[in-house]
Amino acid sequence: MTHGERSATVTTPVGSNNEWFVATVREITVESPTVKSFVFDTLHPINNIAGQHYELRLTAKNGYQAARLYSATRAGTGEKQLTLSIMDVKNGEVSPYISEQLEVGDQVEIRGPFGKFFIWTDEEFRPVFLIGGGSGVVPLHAIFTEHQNSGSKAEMKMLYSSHTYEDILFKDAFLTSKDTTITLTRDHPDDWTGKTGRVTKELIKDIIDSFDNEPICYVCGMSLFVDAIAEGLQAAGVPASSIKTERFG
Amino acid sequence: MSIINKGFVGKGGANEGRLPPGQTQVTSWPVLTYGPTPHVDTKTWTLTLDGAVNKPITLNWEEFNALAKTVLKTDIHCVTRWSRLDMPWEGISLDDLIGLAGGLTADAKYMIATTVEGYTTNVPVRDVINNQAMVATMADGEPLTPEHGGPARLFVPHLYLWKSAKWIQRLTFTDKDHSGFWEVNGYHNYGDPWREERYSDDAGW
Repeated sequence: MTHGERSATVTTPVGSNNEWFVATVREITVESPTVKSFVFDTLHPINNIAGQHYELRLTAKNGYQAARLYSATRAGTGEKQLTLSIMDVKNGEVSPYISEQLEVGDQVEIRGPFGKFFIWTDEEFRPVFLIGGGSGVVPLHAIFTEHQNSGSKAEMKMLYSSHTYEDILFKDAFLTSKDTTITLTRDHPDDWTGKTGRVTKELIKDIIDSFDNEPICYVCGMSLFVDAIAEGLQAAGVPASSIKTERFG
Repeated sequence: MSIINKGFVGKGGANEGRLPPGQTQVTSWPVLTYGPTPHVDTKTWTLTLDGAVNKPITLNWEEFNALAKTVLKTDIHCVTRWSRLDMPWEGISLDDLIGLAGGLTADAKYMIATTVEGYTTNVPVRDVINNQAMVATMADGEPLTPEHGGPARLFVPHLYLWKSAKWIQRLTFTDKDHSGFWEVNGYHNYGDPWREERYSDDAGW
């Protein structure tokens, strides 16, 4: 199998991750016009690996239930707290309720973590290139912050494509990072000094060439974005086996 | 015990009975893949059936397309919780392909599907015979595009869609089960949507 690069050994959380648990909204942060971060209090310690996701389930009065997958905003620290950053998808079934109606103190059901492929731990010694479009940066933020918090010596760079300045998520982490390139594709402030326009093959190649060694690449965003980036990475010489993707929409 | 989310209505109910539990109907066709989309040239494409068959075969694109087509209108279910109903599919029945390979030997209990980029998935043989599975080349009346697994993908519609491996290259029949890519990465070994066998820990049969 060409997918042997699955990051080193992963510590399996104790117990089953498929049981729903009740989580209580502790805090809501508006990240952008379409994305909010929800901090949930949980009954059990949260120990997810950076890049993993959870399922969140809502139940209507008549018993009807709907669940969706959301990436965790950061790796678990063993505290009884979980953060999910959720985009309000127009015409969606679950996210509009979460974004517009969920309040501090409300309860939802959650289970997880899931996913053992689009993940990163500090046991990964290869350089890492994170490329995100829109709310696709949520799992990348988990990897980015875990890389910083772990003190990993592995080189890490990030490329983030956002519609506008207002849409940039996790500004505290990304705007101050010298290893992060942000490009604004629709509109930009007059004093914006970063990149503008869509990610080009040239930009991808420039960043790939700036690595000392070939990186393992994590790409997350809308499917068309992911395909364009994956093609750019391959054109820059990155083998398909070094490209991990996560898609939505 | 389940909590109630006050004011949540959801979109369920419209196709009650048609949708497996926990699924929502879509009319679009979302794409989910763990890596880059391979662009497979039909000039070099081949499909191999090997392992516990009486006469292992490798077909090229022309030989494969000369076989009688099977059409099927069916529902598809993705583990990420969307389903599409009444979708037309076309391809070559696994029964026909297995027949061409001289039939299965008594050892054939499982099928391991391998794609051009090395993705694997496992399905019990009893789930791919008797008109339950095909190697599909068309959906919605159009040739399968690369992002949906074109030129040809395995299609086992009664299981979650990750079992319907895109860019299919090899079908190997074995006496022992070998978990595939998603199956070792936390997803259920069998994947029945009606039993919600989503993740490896989900209680199943």
